[in-house]
Amino acid sequence: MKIRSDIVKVYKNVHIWVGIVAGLMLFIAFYAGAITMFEKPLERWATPPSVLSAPPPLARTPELIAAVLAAHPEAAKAYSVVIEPTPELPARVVWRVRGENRRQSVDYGASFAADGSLQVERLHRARVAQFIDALHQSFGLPFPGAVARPLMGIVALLYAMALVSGTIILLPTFAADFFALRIGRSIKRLWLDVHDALGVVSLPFHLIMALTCVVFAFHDPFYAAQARVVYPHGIHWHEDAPAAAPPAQWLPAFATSVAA
Amino acid sequence: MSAGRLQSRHWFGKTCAGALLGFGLALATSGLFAWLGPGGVVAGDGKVQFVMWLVAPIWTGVLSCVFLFRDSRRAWLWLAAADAIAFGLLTLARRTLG
Repeated sequence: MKIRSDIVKVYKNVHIWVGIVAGLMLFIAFYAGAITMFEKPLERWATPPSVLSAPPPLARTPELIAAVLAAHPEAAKAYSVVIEPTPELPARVVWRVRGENRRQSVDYGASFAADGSLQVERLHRARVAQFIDALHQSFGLPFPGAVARPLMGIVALLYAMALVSGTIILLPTFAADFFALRIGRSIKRLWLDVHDALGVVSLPFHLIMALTCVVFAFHDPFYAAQARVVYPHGIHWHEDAPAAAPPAQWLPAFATSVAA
Repeated sequence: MSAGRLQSRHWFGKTCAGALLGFGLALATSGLFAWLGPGGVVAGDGKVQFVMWLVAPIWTGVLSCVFLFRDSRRAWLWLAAADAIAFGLLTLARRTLG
């Protein structure tokens, strides 16, 4: 494909300067974003193991629930019976005490000690997931969301510009460069070939990431502007957001099991 | 260097034009889709979301292509003209269909 050489030169400059301005922050966001794939294993690794005794057999569950409710009546509001306890959910019976908001609620688990007495443990989870999320979503900047989010949105706009300019630069020599990995002559050439190949192969994913990041950062202003300019009576959502479903591995306990 | 050659100059003005007028263009174009696209302006929540999503590719597209203008003045003038046409059509659509 032919593109005028002066256009390619201008976009080469754009690509370079976007890289200089936004490259470091994009690197942090990419790296932390890749690590979020391993959020759960990392959380499991960073969380100290439970000190509760092994969960009693399922048949003794009503007994355990009765003991829990006798000692902690507040658990009656929302407790769950775990059929197959896991390292993340190490107790047969767990319950949640709500705080001021969702982040402040505390989870407890219960078991029977060797002598048959009730054992209760506060279930901790290492805060590694929140840390990685903060790094991914706002580069770990120590600003409130209202400041960090637009900054991240501007970086996402620069990211999109980098994708367009990089594609324009590569198009004229695409057929020659794409399958080339020139090892030996010049280290710079080698890394440029790697950069080009990685960039082309992952371009669809990069486009999705850039556009979703722009929307993630700016959807509120987008909606606000469209409510004023596009829609005659503003935006009114018809469907209420569905209530958050409980985690799949928690089975809801029924009142009848307490009576049993 | 002939006068017709594109140069890496006026980046501040071009970028500002792309960011501001590009956003206006994205807003008006997404609005046109909201009114003239399938189902019209009352097509429901899914379309409201889609129309919001349209802003991102149009805005970033304009912002990326703004360096093709020869200077900052041309960028502002052409984009302002495009904005005026798009908002004019949007107003027309709102008047006739609303």
